[in-house]
Amino acid sequence: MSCPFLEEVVVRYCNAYPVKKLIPASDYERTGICHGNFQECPIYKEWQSAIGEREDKMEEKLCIWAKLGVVSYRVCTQNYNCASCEFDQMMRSGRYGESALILQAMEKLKSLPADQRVCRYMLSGDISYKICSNNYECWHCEVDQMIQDRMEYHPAYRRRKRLYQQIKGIRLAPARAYTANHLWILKTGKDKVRVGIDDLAQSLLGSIRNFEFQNRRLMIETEKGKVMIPTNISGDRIEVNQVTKDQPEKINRDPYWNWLAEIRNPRYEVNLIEWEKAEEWLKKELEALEEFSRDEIGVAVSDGGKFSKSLLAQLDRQSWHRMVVRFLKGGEDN
Amino acid sequence: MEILLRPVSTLAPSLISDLISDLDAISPWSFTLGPPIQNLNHAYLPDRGQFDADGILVHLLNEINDQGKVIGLIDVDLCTPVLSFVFGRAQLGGRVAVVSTFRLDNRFYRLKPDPGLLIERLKKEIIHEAGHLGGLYHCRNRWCVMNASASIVNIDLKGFKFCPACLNYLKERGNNGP
Repeated sequence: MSCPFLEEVVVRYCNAYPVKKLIPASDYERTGICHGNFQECPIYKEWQSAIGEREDKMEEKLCIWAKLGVVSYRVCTQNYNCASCEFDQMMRSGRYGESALILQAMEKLKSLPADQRVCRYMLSGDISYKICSNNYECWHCEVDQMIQDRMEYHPAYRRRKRLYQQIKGIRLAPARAYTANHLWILKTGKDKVRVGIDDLAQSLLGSIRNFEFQNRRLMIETEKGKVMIPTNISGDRIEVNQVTKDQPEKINRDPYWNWLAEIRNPRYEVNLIEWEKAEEWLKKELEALEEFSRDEIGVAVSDGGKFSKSLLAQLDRQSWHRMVVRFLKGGEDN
Repeated sequence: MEILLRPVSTLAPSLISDLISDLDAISPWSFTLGPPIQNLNHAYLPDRGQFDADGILVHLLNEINDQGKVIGLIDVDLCTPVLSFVFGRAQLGGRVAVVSTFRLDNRFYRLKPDPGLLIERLKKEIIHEAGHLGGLYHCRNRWCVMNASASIVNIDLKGFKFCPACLNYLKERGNNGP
């Protein structure tokens, strides 16, 4: 039973006005929340124009391929960051990359008037004016390199960095499975995965110059030499990430963002280390690395510290090779 | 278990005497003051501008002449080939360990010097390294003194005490006291 004096009324208030004055619904018609037509309200007008501008901008964000007329309609969802766009990579590589349509589109692009060949950073609003002189092949472009380098310090990029867990200075990316020889596997679709090397592997390998998948093995060329790492993963098709292939130094910068290949219907010949257990596993690997680096005093443990970038400089070729064999289960490729 | 503390001569004697009496009270071991460490030059790494922690452990190991355990207390920056710096390093279940005050001091972080906080951190690190000498590995319990510290913040967060699991391990190994 409720109180006989309790009265229930529906009230309304203006969410835009700083004071939330509650007006009973019965009085609404009489008073009117805005004391007039809400379409005349300056706050409403401002909001409406902002929405309109946003919609106009959305309309402008047509995919570069749509602008070229290769595809009839596609809206860019990556803020013109073609390097991370799967659609762009699909168009440039494999069976589409050499198709007459794409070649024709490229020719069309070359013949476009200069003022229509605007840089993707101009399209995204990052720079005020720049005409593309590289046929949208950003990996040749100095401006792209400069902006990518600057992004290292950009808050949005740094936020991505914070997603990684740090164990003694070695990054560990979430949501991935790992193999014992420091490869990571990320499921990106029902039947496809992306493969890359983890941060410890890139730290041990040093500056990466090239990589290649060869019969369930991954050849990586570094400043110290070439190594063959068994991937123990087979699949119906292995598609190498062309962006990383063309700029392998990106792997050293962020080995989790810069994946190496995409594999369809993967089959694993090794047990994977799931993300939940990856932290413990990496801690043990780092401890093993400490023990491996010095054996004259037996097993020693330290408190504190981060992975030293100068480790590679201290190692001669033979010691480096022993370390690669132990941690990446790899061998030297002569 | 008796542990000999061997400080470098540059560390203040008052700090060491306060430290020993406090450590005896809060740890399961008894600490005594040993002869100072004379020369660390052999462990200096000019390329890194730091001192090799393992080099100092080898030096302490060469000078040890009885069955006791030794912890060296130094005031220079320590590192290992793999790690950019370390607060301390010890032989697991072995005889020698080393702890540095260099990165425990507020002045390293450009903060106001705090001698009380320095002693507190030093005590935690000495007990931590003594735990390694007792055979303990790093503990996952963040309040346990055997929890690994990646930075000075982690040292400040953890306590002086061993968690029940670590304490049990020490008791089973007979390291819970003289």
